[in-house]
Amino acid sequence: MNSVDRRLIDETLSGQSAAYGELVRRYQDRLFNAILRVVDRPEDAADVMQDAFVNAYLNLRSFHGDSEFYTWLYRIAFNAAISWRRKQRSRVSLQSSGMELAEPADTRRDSRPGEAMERREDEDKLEASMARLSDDHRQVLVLKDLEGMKYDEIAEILEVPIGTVRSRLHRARLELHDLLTDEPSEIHEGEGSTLPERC
Amino acid sequence: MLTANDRILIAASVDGSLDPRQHERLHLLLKQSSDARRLQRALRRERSKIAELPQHSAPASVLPAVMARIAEVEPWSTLPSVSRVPQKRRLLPFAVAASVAMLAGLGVWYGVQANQHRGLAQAQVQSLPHVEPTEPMILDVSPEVVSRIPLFDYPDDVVVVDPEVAPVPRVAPDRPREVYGAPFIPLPKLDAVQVKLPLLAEFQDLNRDEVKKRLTLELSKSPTVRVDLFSRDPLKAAELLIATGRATGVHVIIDRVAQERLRRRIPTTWLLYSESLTPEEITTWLLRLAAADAKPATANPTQTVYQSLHIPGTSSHDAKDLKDLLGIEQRKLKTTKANPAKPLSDGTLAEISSSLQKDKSAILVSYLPQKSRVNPNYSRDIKAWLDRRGDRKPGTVALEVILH
Repeated sequence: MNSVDRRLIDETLSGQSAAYGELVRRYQDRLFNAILRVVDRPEDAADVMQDAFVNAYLNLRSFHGDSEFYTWLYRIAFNAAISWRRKQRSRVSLQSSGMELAEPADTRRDSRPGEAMERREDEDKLEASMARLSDDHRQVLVLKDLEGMKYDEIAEILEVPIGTVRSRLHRARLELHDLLTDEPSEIHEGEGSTLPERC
Repeated sequence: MLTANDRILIAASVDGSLDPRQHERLHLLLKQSSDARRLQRALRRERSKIAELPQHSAPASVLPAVMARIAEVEPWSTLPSVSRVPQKRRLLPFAVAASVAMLAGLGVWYGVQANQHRGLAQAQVQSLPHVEPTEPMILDVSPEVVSRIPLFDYPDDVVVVDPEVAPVPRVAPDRPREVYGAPFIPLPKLDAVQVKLPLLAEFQDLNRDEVKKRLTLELSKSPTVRVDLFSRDPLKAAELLIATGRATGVHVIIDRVAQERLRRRIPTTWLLYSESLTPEEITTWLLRLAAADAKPATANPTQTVYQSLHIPGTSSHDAKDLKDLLGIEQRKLKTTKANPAKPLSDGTLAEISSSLQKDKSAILVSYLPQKSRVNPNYSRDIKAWLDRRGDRKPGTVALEVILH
């Protein structure tokens, strides 16, 4: 665990709640983006994230620093997000939600007129397709591609073996590709793969 | 047409999860099939697109909401430790076994001790010398015998002493004894000392002229003033304080956590701090506050929100609180650097007037419970107030209001 997190946790445990505020500040944006892709609606993501931060605070004593703080925090948040999603089961796209998201800063330059619009359409299509993925596939894609996590970190968060993470990821890529190209998915969980699960 | 296995193999190659044998298979597949090459390119492109999806910032309300919620929970020391519960449960059988073993040990020890005592008692009895039993002694308690027993011993003879032969010693007559004490020192003349008593007044008495004058006087005594306001409902009291402050022309900035606590109606002790008000302006604010508080409760004075006002004087604790809560040093209050003895140039005058506080402002933050406090480095509102702070105008005091 990195030294800044360790210090902030120690200060929090000694009663300085402001230190926990710093931890929230450090990870809230990253966590929000990850949770947003799991629960779809920004207001739901904000609620889930609040619950996750409060639960993490209440259980901070049980965190012994065996893993990175954000890995532990993500596990709490992801479990909360999955529970939330199972309860809601309402797949509403980002665009139809009530909360307005701030337009992210875009530093890319468009070489021709209309390219920005096309790219935005691609992103919308990608997000809509990701929203249609099964929970398992969506989680693993978010953690690997969006968060850039390693297999062992993903395995720890999802509490599955590394081999399962790999196979889920391969299937998730194919499922997403089929959704993007409007092709029926040919790969289903537990079938069709002859690749050995390497751990 | 690609098989399911081929597709999985290609997907695995995108993440670099192939062993040498699978890599060889993939190489062959890509060489033979254009579909395979197309799929691999598409999967790589999609992976890049996911990584480049726009990043959104978390809503600004998350941090204050989390801080407000954790401030509501009990302090760490009283929270049950989550990890210890299972540990206790794991130790329960051992604790029961240890208790049973201890009880059994105590029983055995008690039995051994009792046997030892019994054996010792028997040994003592056996070691006693053998005595033949004798006839019991019978006392004669007949009236005749009892009446012959003398009650007192009187001396048989009385000896008369001749004073000539053996003179009786004389007893010295009583005389007053000498008393020793400290030498008498004349006491110096005592002067009257005036004791400085902190102002304590009922809030509704602020309208009285003598209380009003005393209040202004107390506020003028020191460049730093602490005022404690006691209320029946700190939430309503804070709202009233903010409203009357704004009506008086004071720009009251409320920290985000304080706003959240006000909105959620969480009981809080507040701190309001200002450096841009004169004692007269503070008195005006407090009088307006008292008038606004009394308005709805003219029929029943017990329905007023504010109860009393106390000006206890400042201490080192207040300076520490201000440093913790606002990140400012009370002892290093900014003052104008103008020297009245020297004439000012036009440039200096313009510089000083531009650096002076541009308006009357105050900042409201949560003071207690301790956990509700915000690190000033992370509060945008405190930073906004610090930006407006500027140098102090002459005649202003540093006002610290604690609203209980």
